[in-house]
Formats: sequence, C-alpha cells, structure tokens
Amino acid sequence: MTKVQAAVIAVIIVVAVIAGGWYYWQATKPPEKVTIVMQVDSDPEAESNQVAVKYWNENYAQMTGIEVRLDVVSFQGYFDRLTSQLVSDSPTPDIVHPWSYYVGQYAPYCEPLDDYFANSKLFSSPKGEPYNLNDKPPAILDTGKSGGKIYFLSHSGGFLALIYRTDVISKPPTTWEEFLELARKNSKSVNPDSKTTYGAAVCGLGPIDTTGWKTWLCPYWTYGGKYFKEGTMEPDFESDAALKALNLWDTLMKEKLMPPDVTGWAFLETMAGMQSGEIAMIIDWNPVIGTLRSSTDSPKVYDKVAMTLPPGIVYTGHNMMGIKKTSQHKEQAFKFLSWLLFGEGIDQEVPVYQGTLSNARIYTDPKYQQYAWVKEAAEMKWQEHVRAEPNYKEMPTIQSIGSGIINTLLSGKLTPEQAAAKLQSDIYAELQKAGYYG
Amino acid sequence: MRLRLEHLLVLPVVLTLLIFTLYPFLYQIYLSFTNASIYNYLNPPFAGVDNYVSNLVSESLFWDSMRVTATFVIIVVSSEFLLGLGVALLVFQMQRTQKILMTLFILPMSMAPVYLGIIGRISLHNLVGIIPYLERVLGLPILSYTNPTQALFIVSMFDIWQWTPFMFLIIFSGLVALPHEALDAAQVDGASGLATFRHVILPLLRPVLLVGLVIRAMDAIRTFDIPYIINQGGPGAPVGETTTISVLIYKLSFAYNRIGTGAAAAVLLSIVLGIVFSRATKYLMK
Amino acid sequence: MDALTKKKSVALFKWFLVTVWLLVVVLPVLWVFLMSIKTNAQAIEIPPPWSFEPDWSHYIQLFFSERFELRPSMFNSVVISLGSAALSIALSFPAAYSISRFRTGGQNLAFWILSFRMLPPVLFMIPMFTLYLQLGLMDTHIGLIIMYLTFNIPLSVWVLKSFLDDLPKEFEESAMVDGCSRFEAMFRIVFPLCSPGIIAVAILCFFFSFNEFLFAMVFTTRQARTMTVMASIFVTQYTYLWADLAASVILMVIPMMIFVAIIQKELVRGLTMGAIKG
Repeated sequence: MTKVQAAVIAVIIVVAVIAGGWYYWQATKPPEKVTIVMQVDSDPEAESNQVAVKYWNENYAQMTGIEVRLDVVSFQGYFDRLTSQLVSDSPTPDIVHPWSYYVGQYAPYCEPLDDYFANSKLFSSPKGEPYNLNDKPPAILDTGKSGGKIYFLSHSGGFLALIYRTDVISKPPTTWEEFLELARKNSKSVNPDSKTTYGAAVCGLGPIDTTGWKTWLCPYWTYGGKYFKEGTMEPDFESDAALKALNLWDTLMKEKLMPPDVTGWAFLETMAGMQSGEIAMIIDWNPVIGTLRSSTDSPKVYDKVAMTLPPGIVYTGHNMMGIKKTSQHKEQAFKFLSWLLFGEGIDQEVPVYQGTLSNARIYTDPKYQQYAWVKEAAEMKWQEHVRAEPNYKEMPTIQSIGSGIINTLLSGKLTPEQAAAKLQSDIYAELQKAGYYG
Repeated sequence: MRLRLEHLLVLPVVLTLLIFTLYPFLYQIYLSFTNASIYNYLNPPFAGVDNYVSNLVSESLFWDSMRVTATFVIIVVSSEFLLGLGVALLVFQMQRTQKILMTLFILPMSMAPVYLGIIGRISLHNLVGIIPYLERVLGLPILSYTNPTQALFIVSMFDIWQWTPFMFLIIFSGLVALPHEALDAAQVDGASGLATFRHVILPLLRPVLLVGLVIRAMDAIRTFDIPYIINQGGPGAPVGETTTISVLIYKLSFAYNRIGTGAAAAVLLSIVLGIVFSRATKYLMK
Repeated sequence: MDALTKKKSVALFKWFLVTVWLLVVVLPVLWVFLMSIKTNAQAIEIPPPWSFEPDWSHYIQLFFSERFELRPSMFNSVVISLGSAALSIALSFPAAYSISRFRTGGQNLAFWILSFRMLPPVLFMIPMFTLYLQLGLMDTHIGLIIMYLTFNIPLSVWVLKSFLDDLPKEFEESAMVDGCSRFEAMFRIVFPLCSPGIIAVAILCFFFSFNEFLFAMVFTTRQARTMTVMASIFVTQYTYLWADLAASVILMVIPMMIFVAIIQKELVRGLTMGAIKG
C-alpha cells in the first residue's frame, strides 16, 4: 500500500466515523424545545383543557420537545382579540379556538389540515400509535370544513337543551304546540294558580349575541323551515314555517309567558332566571345544567331540574380548534392538537368536562359510563336530533342579522309578518353584497 | 422659520399624537371606501361611496344613532355639570372634612366602566337583580333596560353616577386654585353667598368650567362600555334605543361585518365633531 | 328667624345635601363589597340575605391563586397608569404653557390636539394591532402607556391650559426680570402654582389608564396584563363568578383610592399656596 492509498483510506475512515457519530447524535438528541401557544376563552372547556395540557407537559414535553402554554382569556372581548390576532400577521397563538359558525370567516387565516392527517408521523401519539380519524364522525368533521378542506376540528359540541322544572312539569313537551300549552299552564298571567311566574324563557339578546337566533331556529327547522330555497342560495324566510315560528315567539311575549326582560337576556341571564325559581322551562346551552344541578350554585332549584331535547330539530354549535397560518410551529401544534382531540387528551378531559365532547368512542366505552354526564348524553342520543349550519363565510353576519330581528320582534317593534319580510330582505341583501347572485 | 422655544415645547406632544394615531386614522378613511369584512380585511373590494350613502340616506344609520347620542349627551352632560358644580361648591365650603369628602366623592370613577356595566346588568335582572327587588319593596315602578322608553334613562343614570365626579374634580380644583384675595374681599364687603358666586367666582372659574364641559361632552359622545354591555345597544337593532355612535360602529364592524360602513360612520362622526368642536375651540381660546 | 339660626339651618341643609350625594356615591360600591364576601350564589340571591357569614375566601383566592396573578397584574396596572399619567403631564405641561402664553399654533393646533379625544377607540383596534406588532410594542408596558397617552394628552393639555389661563403672567415675568430664564420660570414658579390642575389631571389620567379594558384586553398577553383584564377571567361563557368578580373590582378600587389619598394632600396644600399668591 502506498502512502497516498493509506492516507485516502484513513481520511475515508475518519469521515465515516465523524459522519456516523453526527448522524447518531442527531437521531438520539432530544428535539429542540418549542413552545406552542393555545388560546381559549374562559369557559368549562378551558378548565378541562388545562388538565389535558398539564398532563402533556408533564409526560410528553420532554419526549417530543413540544411544550404547550395555555392562554385562558376572558370571554368579554374575546372575539375582538381573536379577530385582531388573525387579521394581523401575529405568530401567536398557534392554536386558535373559535365557534363553529365562524369557521367560514376565519378559514382564510388558518391552515388546511387534510395533509396533516395523511402524515402518519404527525397524526399519531408521541409513542407512534396512529389515531383514528373516524372517532369524530363525518358530520362532526364537516363542521370544520370550508371550501371542501378541513380547517378546524371540533373539540366538543353543545346543543340547545330544554331545561324544565320537574315539580311542575311531569312530561316534557314533544311538540312546540305542547311547549306553548305548558308555558301557558305555568304562567301566572294566564293561570293565576301557577307555581312559577313565567312558563318559559328563551334568549332574546342581539345582534352581537347570537343565541337568540339559534334558539329560534329550533322551532323554525321543526316546522320545516330552511335557510335556503332548494338548490339555490336564496333565503327562504318568507315561508309558512317562518311565520309559524315567529308567531310562536310573538305569542310567548304577548301573553306574558316569558319575563319582559328576555330581549336583554343572553344564555347567562336565562340561566340566572332559572336559578331564581320563577321560570318553568328555559332553552339554553346544555352545559348550564351542571350549574343548575349544583346545590351551592343553585340552591333554589338544584333538586328540581331536568334536561331534555327541545321538540323536533335542535341547534348544535361546536367549539373548534385550528392552527394559525402564520404560526411558526405548525407541525408541532398539529402534533399536540391531534393528541388533544383524538388521543389521550380526550381521556384526560372526560372526567372533568361536563359538556358533550364530540368523540364517538367515549359514549360507547364502558369505562366512561360512570360519569353521569356521559351516560346522559349517550342516552339522549343528541347527535341524532341536531342539525348544524352550513359554513358560509357570511354565517356570523347572517346570525347577527337574524338575532337583531328576533330581538326587535320580541321588543314588540315588528309584527311576525314584518319580521319574516325583514329576515328575507336583509339576508338577501347581505348575500347579494357577497356576490352570490352574480 | 426659526425653531423658537414655543415650538420646542409643543413638539413632543405633536410627535406622539402624530405617530401613533395618524396611521390608524388614515387607514379608517381608506376602509370607509371599501366593502371590507373580516375575511377579506387585507384585500377589501372597492365600494366607492356606498357606505356613506347607506349611513346617511338609505338606512339612515348615522342619523338615528346621532339622535340617540345627542339625547344621551344632553341629558348626562347637563346633569353632571350641575351636580358636579353643586357638590364642588358644597365641599369647598366644608373646610374641615374636605380631604375625606373629596376622596370619597371620587369613588364612582374608580370602578372600571366595563365592570360597572356587568354588575349593573345583573343588578337590573328582573328576577335576580337587587334593583328591581328594591323597586318592588319600595313600591317604585320597575325599570328595565329592555323597555324602549326606559333604556336610555337607565344608561344615563349609570353615566351620571360614574362621571359626575369628573366634573366635580375639575371644578373643585378650579375653586382651590382661585386667588384668595378675591373671595376674602367679597366677604369683607358683606356680599351674600349668591352674589359672591355670580360676580366673583363664576367669571374666574369660567375657563375651567368650559374645559370641563367640552371634555365631558366629547367623552360622552364616545360612550361605549355601558350601553354596549347593558343591552348591546338595544332594544331593537341595528339602531336601538341605546345605540350610541360608538356602539353603532362596533356593531357594524364586528357583528354585521360591514367594516367599511362602520369606518364611514366614524369618518362622518369626525366631520360632525370637527365642525362642532372647532367652534367651541374658538370660543375657548378667547 | 334671626341671623344665627338662619345660618345654622343653611349649614344643616348643606350637610344634608352632601350626605345625600355621599350615600348615592358610596352605597353601590358598598353593595359590590357585600357581593364580594358572599358566595357566588348568594351574591345574586333575591331577596338578598341580610345576615350571612362573610366569606373571605374570594379575596384569599385572589391573593394566592395561580390563575389570577394578583401581584404581577397589580404591578402592571400601577406602573402603566403612573407611567401614562406622569408622561402625559410631563409632555402636556410645556405644550399647555406654550399655547396659553404664546398661543402657539393658534386655534388649529389646539383643536387638533383636542380632536384625538374625539375618536371612538374601537376604530383603532385592528390597525393599531398591526402597527404594534411591527414596532414590537405588543404586550409591553410602554406600548400601553403610549396608547393611553393618545387620550390623556388632549385632556391634560386642555385642562392645564385653562388653569394657566387663570394664572396672571406677572409671576413668571417678575421672576424673569430677576434673571430667571423662561424655562426656569416655567418649572420653578408656574408649575407649583398649577398644582390643583396638575393633581386633577393626574387623577383623571391615572384612573382612565387603570380602568381601561378593550385595549388592555387585546394588546396584552403575559407580561403586561393589567388587573382590569385579569378580573375578566371571572366572566366566563356560561356563568359569571359574581363574588370573585366583585372581589377583584374592590381590589382594583383600593390602589386607585390610595393614589387619590396620597396625591390630594398636594391639592389641599394648594389652598395655602393661594394665600401666597396674594
């Protein structure tokens, strides 16, 4: 062997050793620590999210190099803040949390997730076990789609429940006509012997608050009403269904079956009304039953309330989570998000969260039957009775228009006929401005 | 033009205001000519003067809201002025308890408007609120913020409670700053309280009173927190009984997603205020 | 009725008026305090429980809770409010002096400064958000201080100007005759004589900055979060924790009242300053 040959071999060996060592070191070194920020508003989901985030940070932060910081901000001013963050190029928060009807509006600022689901490295647990996308049924996945792509994932669904006093109502109503009769029976204005002052209460606040519209959609849909005429994007509010539903609301107010204040009530005040003991039935978001059943929070009614579904078709809205387009750690955010929504995160939240998580498996898994809220949700089969709205960009605006008109109707400033006509014309004008009619 | 002392003195103020508010204000003017919504905020389609037309003519949003705002401003500013003046004069005369009284009378301003609104709202709740309860017990009529005729009154009451101390503070400091010899001289001359007030105090206090009025009026026009929280500007939409112009702009921008229309309302407001207050400035600079 | 009785009854009447207004002012705040020592359910119970065991747990929770972060948020609120008030006075006093004595910029400048207080804050939110992001002022103390300056300066300039208008020019002119520069005269002679106006402006700027919600909410996250934003944690989607909310409101009132109590000593001292004027 000549000196040159020996030198070449030596160099090759040295390079190979160094390269091998470098690759080995890269493969085994702990991943660089990245902190992703998840921002949620202050509500029961935030409480359970905190439990899950803590668990992840304690068990998986080291392993994956992903540390999660949960920013819980107030509900007051939440959407002002979120909108500002989305519209600007702010890199945080990485994971954003709006409600389902905002999906169309916020999708332009978020990351489409379809490719991430296909990536088995990301859509799997920290230990490498793949997740099952079907754990969130297709209808649930649809709530997060815009333009055919998935932008948001549902964490939990809420639906508008009928909560009633078991001491005055033995059989909850199965039709809206029965609802009206029970309301009359339990209002002092019609029946002076009634135990409660008012038979019913629904939210009437608007237009910034939109629960009033969603509550009204329940009778509207039950009577056969739809948002749009078949096959078109033309609103369909000048229909018999609309008039019937608007008349129902009008009757409830005119006969004094509801407190005069309801035009100023969001779901909080409606719950407070129930807590006072003076109302027989309310329609409100299902998580409030937790507060109403607590003896410390609702001493007057905690042992006399029950929850069921309103008659017919029920409105559902979901708490969504998505990833911001300008986030600098999109893959890490997805890794955590998929754990939170498909993996162990859900298991961590079930004991704590008394609402309705949207994963199918928790309602069939025997180990969760011990939790009363899971059992109740499974029994009510709420997913079979609900209808979700389509995700147009204009949906939040349409809801504001709608709740503003319902508010005006309940204030007595519009007759049902006028309200139907105004719904039709205002929503048409809005969609026309958005360019739907060419 | 040489840089004189006077220019140097005002320079920091001018610079601060310029840098931090000019860009947003110009951006608003730009937005008012577009059909901006949240989802196309960065590339809004051009809309010409449509927003101004709907504000002024076709939907009359601006005028309706200005009517509400003007009513509100007249009620609260005049009440706060008279109350503030009265209380300031009274406290000024009470030499020994002045310190404690002054501190206590400022208390309403120390409650954040947003929480005053939130707590006030539940206190007015028909079934669980303390105010209707007291009204029932005392046999008073039950006021509700959902009643079209009472809503503005209720919002005004909150504002008067919270901001009378503002007028009180300004007027009281003005009284304290008055030269003693004028007051003493009047007393030596045996002038009655009322005469002293009219001929001695009032003229000296005039600049301070006017400034207090102007600033409170401007703040009242911008009122947002209380009407927004108590009833989201209702009852009735889009322009309800308590939809002051700030609430209208917010509703248009964030509920109805007509950011362009909201911006146009804001520009119109600036024009109206500009006209009104430049006249006031002329008067104040005399 | 002789003169003495008339004087006494007038005095009594004045005391009566003061007491009435005092009750109007204090009772709502007292009610909020009562709310804070009940349980969350009792706070909105009707009829209100007249005798109940005071529940101090809400205050204790606020002091020790991890989520509420009382000390950092109180620190932030105080720093930001003091900073904005002090900076506002520091910048506005020279400007007010200049406008008052020299009519600098005439009507136009004075009006232009005033006009910044006319603009509804909600307009500024999104453009300011982008601007602050680019300038790196997001979630900083100085960011909020400057934001509040845009409202505090117009108030400060105009109120101080009105107090200065009332102050005869002879004071500084006689000092300048004695050899002071205009600058020295402005700070040594005129500034102290304006103390009632300065106190009033300081209190108003401090209060406004402390209680501001919308911008503090949107523009702060961890570092600069103020008490006003912190207290809103109790405003959740499904329920408001009334007693906790009331407790945090009371905890916000206290620093402000302490500030007034400290600073108003200067105001009362102004009374004796007035004598020196003579």
